[in-house]
Amino acid sequence: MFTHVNGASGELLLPEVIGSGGALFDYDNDGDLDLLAVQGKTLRADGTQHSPTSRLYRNDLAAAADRRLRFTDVTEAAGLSVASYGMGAATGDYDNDGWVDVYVTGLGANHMLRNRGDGTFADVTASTGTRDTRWSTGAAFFDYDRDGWLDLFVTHYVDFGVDMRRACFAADSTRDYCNPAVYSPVADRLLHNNGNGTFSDVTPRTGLLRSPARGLGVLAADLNADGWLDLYVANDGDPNQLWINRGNGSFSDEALLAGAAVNRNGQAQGSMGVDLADVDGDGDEELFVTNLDNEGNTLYRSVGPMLYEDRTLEMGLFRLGFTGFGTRFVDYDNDSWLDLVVVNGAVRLSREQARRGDLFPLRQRNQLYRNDRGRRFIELTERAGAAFVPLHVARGLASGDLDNDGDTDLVVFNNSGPLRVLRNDVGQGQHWLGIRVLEGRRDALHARVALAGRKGPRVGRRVQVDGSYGTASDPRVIFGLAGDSSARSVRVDWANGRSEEFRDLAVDRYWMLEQGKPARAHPP
Amino acid sequence: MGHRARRSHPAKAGLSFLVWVALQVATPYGQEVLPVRDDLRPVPMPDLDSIEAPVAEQLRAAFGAVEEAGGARSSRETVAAAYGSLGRLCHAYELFDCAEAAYANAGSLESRRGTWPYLLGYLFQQTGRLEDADSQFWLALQLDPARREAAARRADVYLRQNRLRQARDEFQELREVFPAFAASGLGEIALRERRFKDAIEHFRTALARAPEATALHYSLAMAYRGLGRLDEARAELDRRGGGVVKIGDAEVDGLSTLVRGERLLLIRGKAAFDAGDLLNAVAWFTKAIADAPDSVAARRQLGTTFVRLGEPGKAIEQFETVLRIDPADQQTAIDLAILLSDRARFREAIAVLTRAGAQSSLASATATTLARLLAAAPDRSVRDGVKALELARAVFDREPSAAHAETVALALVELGRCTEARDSLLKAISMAEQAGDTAEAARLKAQLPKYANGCQ
Repeated sequence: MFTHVNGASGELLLPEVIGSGGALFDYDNDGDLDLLAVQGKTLRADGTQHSPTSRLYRNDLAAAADRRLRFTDVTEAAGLSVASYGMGAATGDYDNDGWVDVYVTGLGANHMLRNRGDGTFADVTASTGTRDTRWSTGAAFFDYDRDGWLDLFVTHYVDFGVDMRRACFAADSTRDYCNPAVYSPVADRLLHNNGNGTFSDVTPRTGLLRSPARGLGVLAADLNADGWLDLYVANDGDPNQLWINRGNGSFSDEALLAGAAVNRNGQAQGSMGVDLADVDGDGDEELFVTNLDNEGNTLYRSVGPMLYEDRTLEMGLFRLGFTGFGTRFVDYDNDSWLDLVVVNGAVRLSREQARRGDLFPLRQRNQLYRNDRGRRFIELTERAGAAFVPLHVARGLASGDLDNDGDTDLVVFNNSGPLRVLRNDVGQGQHWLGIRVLEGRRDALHARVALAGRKGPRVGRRVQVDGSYGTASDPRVIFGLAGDSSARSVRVDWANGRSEEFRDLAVDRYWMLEQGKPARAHPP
Repeated sequence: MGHRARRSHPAKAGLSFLVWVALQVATPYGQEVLPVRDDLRPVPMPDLDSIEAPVAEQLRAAFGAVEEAGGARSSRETVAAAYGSLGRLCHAYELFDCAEAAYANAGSLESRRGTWPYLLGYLFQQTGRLEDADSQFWLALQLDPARREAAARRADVYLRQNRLRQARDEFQELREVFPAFAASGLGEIALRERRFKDAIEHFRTALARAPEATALHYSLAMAYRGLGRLDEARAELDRRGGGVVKIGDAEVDGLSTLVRGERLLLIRGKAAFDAGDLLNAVAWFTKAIADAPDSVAARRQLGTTFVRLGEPGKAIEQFETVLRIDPADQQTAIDLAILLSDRARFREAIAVLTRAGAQSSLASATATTLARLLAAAPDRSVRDGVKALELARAVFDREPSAAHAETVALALVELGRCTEARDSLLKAISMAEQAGDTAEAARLKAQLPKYANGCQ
C-alpha cells in the first residue's frame, strides 16, 4: 500500500512537514469510491534519484462477488503518474461531462488532470491555464459566479525555495523546523472557469490580493445565505479569512467582525484544517478549525447570520498537545448527530520521541469525539479501537462510504508513513439514508440537503467534498437515522437557488436526486 | 561531564551491542540522570552536544550541581535547591520533561515550600494539563496563601476548564491585588454568559488599568457586536493588538532571565518584536549583544527596533557598528542609507551604499536604492544621472519588474530624456498590471503627468 515520502534529508526544510493529502472520488463511475494518494519526493533531486509518484487506487467493490473492500493500483494505466512535490487534491467535474476531474496542488507545480471517461486522465494544466508554480496547499472547486461551471480556488502558503531555507531553532537552541512566519505569505488565487476548457486568473479583480496570508485548508459554502458561495480559509499564523462573495465578482474578508478569524483571546492561530457543519441541530453551521499543539483547536459556533463565537471550551473540544491537520464532522455511529474526527501530527520535533530513537519525531495520535446530542463533544479516542492507537504524523483526512454499507469510513494520509484506511464497523447497525445530488451530469457541490424530521426540525447537510486538509471527500450525504426505519423525505436546495422536495425515500440505501426528475435508487 | 550515574531508557536494556549502537546514533537526545536519592525521580537530560555552547554549559553545570548536592552530608534543602535550579533552567529552555521531574524532586525534598508546586503548576498550565495545574496551584496556596499569583493562574485554569463559577469567585478575590487581570477575567466570563454590557464595563476597566493589553480590544469588539453596536465593534477591531494583561510574577518572569546564548536571546527578542513589545525586544537584543558583542544579527535587530521606537539616532549607531563588523552587509547599508536620507544626509547615504558595493557585487536592492538616490535625491548636488542609469539598467536587465523599470525612468528624467523616461514608466505600469498589482499600477499611473512637457 501507499507510503508517503517527504524527502527529508536532515536539513529540516519546511515543506517536509506540510504534505500531504489525497482524494476519494469515483473516477470510473462504477458506484464506489476510488482513492488518490498525493506523494512527495526528494527536495534536492539531482536527476539520478527515482521520484515516487502520486498513486490512484481503484476500488474493486462493485466488481467483487464477496463485496469485500479491495483496491488495485491503476496509476500507470490511468496515466496519473504525477511526480511533483505534492500537497493536496481537489475534485470536481470542471467540464461538466459527468466524469470527476482532479486538481493536485504542490510545491513548484500544480496539475489539472482531466478525466477522459475511459479510465485515463490527461494532464491539461497548460491548456486549461491552471499552471501555478507557487507553493499551493488547499484547493476547492466551486461555482462562485453561478454560471454553471466550477471555478477553482487555490490556497498559497509561503514564498519558499530550497535555496531560501533558514536555520531555525527550538527553545533549547537545537535545530528544528521553522515557524512559517519566517517566510513571506503569498496571496491565494481564484481561477474562473470560462466554460470552454480554460480558466482565467481573476484574482486581481476579486480583492483577494488585499491580505496575503499563509493559507492551508479551504472550504466553500454560502455562509451568509445570500445565494452566493463564500470561502473560508484556514491560515497558519495569520487570521483566518472569511471571503464573502459580493455577487459581482469581488470578495471581502469579513472574518474578524464575524468572530471567525482569531480565537476568543483575539489571537491568530496556526490553523491547518477546517470543516463546517450543523453540529447542534439548530439549522445553522459551525466552523471547526485545527491548530497548533500549544493553541488547541477552535470551534466557532454560529449564533446568528455571519455571527460566530468561539465555543471550543463549552463544547468540550479544548485540548492542548495535539497539532491538528485534517478534520471531518462525520456521524460515525449513525445516531443522527455529527461526530468529529481530527488527525494530528506535530510540526516541531518532540524531544521525548527523539530520545527514544525516532528519526521523525513528530508523531501524535488521532482523535475521535462523539457528539452528545448537540450539547457537547466527548472524546472517545481511548475507546475507538485499534485504529486510533498508533502514532503517526497525520495530515490529510478524507471521509466517505468506501464499502457502500451506509456508514462513513475514513482515509488518513500520513506524512512519511503509510496511508491508512479505517473501515467503520460501528454505524452499519443503525438505519441510514444515502443521497447523491446531481446538477446536470455532475455532483451538485455545495447544494444543501435537508431531511424532514419525524417529530423535530429538519436535519441539514451539504454536498461537500472540500474542507479538511489537502483532501477531497465523498460527495454523497449520509443521514444517520438511529433506529428509525420509516421512509423519509428530503429537500434539496441547489446552488442555483432552486429547491425541490423528494418524498418517501426508503431507508438503508442510496438515492440519486436530480432537478425535476423522480428520485432514483443509486446504484439501481 | 563525569556523572557517576546515568540510566538509559528502560526499553533499551538487554539489547545487543550492535542494536544499542544503532539506537545511540539515531538518538539526538540524551539519557536520564539517576536520582541522587531513592525516593526521587530520574531527570531526563537533553543531548548537550546538539545545544548551543553557552546553554549546554549552563545545563551541564546545573546537572553537575545536583550530583554534587547529592552527597551524603547534604541537607534536604540543599538538594532541593539544586533540583529547583535545574528545574528552572530546563523550564526556561522549554525542556518540560526535565523541568517536571526536577520540580517534583525539589517538592518531595522540600514539601513545605510553595515555590515548587507553583512552578510545576505553571508548567502544567503551559502544557495544557489543567487538572494537574489546578492541583499544584491548590497545593501552592495551601503552603503559601500569600502567593496571589497562584490564585491568578488558578483563575485562568478555571476559565480554560469553563468552570465559570469558580473562576468568577477567584477573579473577584483578585480585584484588589491584580485589578486589570481580574477585570479582564470577569469581562471574559460576562462575554461567555452573553452579558455584553457587563463585559464592556469590565474590559474598559481592564484597558484603563493596562492600556498595553491591546488584545482586549478584540474582546471588547465582540461585546459591542453582541449588542449590535457594529461601528463601535469595528473601531475596537481596528485597535486590537497582541498585548495581554500581565500580572507581576517574579517567579515566572525570573525564568526568562536564565536564558543565555545569542541564538536564543535573538529568538526571544524577535518574538517580543513581533508581538509589538519593543522595549522588551530592546532588552533581549541588548542581552544578546552582551553575550556576543560582534553579533551582526543582534545589532541589526536592535537597530530595527530603535527605528520602530522612533529613535533613529540609536538605530544609526547600531547599523554603523554592523557595517564596521561586516562591511559587505548590504541590507544594513540600505537600512542605514534610508535613515540617513530621511535626515537629509544624502551624501553620507550614497557613501554608505557605495562602500557596501565595493566589498562585493551590488545586490539588486542596494543598486536600486543607490540609483534612486543618484537620480532623484532632493539635494541636487549629489545627483549623478549617468551613474544612476547605468545601475538601474543593469538591475532591470537582470530582474525585469515594474519597480526596476520605474528606477530606469527616474534616471532618464534626471538626464532630461523625457520621452524615453515616459516609455519606461509605461512599461512599469504594464508590468504591474500583468502581475495583478493594481495598487502599484495606479500609483505609477499617477506619476505619468510628471513625465509630460519636458519632465516638469
